[in-house]
Amino acid sequence: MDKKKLRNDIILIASLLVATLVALIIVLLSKTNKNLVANVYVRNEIVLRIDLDKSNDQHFEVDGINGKVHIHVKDGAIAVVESNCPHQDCVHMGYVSETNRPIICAYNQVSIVIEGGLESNTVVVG
Amino acid sequence: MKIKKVLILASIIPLSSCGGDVLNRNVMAFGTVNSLHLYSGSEEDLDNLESIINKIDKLTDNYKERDVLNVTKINQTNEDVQIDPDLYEILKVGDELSKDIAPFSIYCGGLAKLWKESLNNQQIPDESSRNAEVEKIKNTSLEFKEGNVVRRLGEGEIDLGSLAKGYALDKCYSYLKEHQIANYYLSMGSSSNLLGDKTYSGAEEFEVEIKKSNWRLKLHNCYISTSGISEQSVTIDGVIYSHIVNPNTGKATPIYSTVLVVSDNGLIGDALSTAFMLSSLDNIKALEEKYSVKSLVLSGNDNVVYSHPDLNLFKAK
Repeated sequence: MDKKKLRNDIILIASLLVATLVALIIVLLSKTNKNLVANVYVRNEIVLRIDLDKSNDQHFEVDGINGKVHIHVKDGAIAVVESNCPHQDCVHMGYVSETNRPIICAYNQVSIVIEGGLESNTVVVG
Repeated sequence: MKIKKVLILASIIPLSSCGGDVLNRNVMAFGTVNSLHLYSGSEEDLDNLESIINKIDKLTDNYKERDVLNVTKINQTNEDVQIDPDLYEILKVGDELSKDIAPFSIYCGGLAKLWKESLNNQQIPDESSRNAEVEKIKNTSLEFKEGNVVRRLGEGEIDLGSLAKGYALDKCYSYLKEHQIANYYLSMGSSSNLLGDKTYSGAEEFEVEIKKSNWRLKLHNCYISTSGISEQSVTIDGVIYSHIVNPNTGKATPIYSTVLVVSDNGLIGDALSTAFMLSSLDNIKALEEKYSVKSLVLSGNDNVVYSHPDLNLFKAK
């Protein structure tokens, strides 16, 4: 094979591989550097927007329709830690950081929905 | 030469598959959070899906009048009413299901409100009030005429709460199919769900977690409708009462704790998940076959009462 041609092929392939690597790094960085924000709804209204990255170990309280709902942020995740609802489904959800796992307290009509997080392969129904 | 082509392909493929972001929108409708996750498409698609959901929410509201002619208005009259084609369709199907599926009825709005009010006060409605509502349900139907005109016959109150979310998902599915969007996850308050072909990461199936249960399913390309007592039940003298009312007996004591129905039609799946909560296993299996659905029935402490043999059911690790 012609040496010049071989050299050109190597340069082409190396350039493509570097471009791929750079693109992958950019995409990964853009996904992981997104600010996680939790929107807290009471009925249809957003009453609180919490930046999960900037609110580590902070507590919040919202007035649901039947009582107060206590919220805590830890390590980029959010949880309802106390509620007066009879079934405590919202509390049992634990700490959540994925976009497709909203925390819903039906009794108090309080919902917490995350934006900018990872999209899990797991969905929660029921 | 061959090696060169392979290497070039190997470097181009990752470049072309650098996936886009998830398109997310949360829509408040049907009294709950409805989450839309599209893995392709545009913000305009989210706008259109949100419009669909808001429209169905307004049309099917039987608690208050909205800026469209809705169920609340129909319940106020026994005259001819010309309605939106979507509302006409959901009422037509709902009326047919009320005749075909027992125990299920779209005319039990009055009974549902009676129970809701009583349970909010930690009370059980008296038998005569319940029986009066059951009589109304038995004597109520709809007359369907040309030009999307309906007339309510009888005094039973129409309640589409057990169908509306499923129907909204059906309309969303039609839109997604028309616009060739295949990968997505839509959830109407987590009780009515629509899974697309693949997950965001490209996995063939979604892992489905059931609230307050250690059981999991692997599914895709389907509707998942659930009914349960976990969020809206009240215990009085050791008996669990729920928002799911039996139109034949007037009672609100579901047999199971959770029912999950997997189907290819959201409206049907939703109706069946409600009916199954009040049905014997024989009835459930007969309706499964009739409507080509698969169901999972749970009771008490996460006991599997019944699971369709084709469901990929497993315990969480």
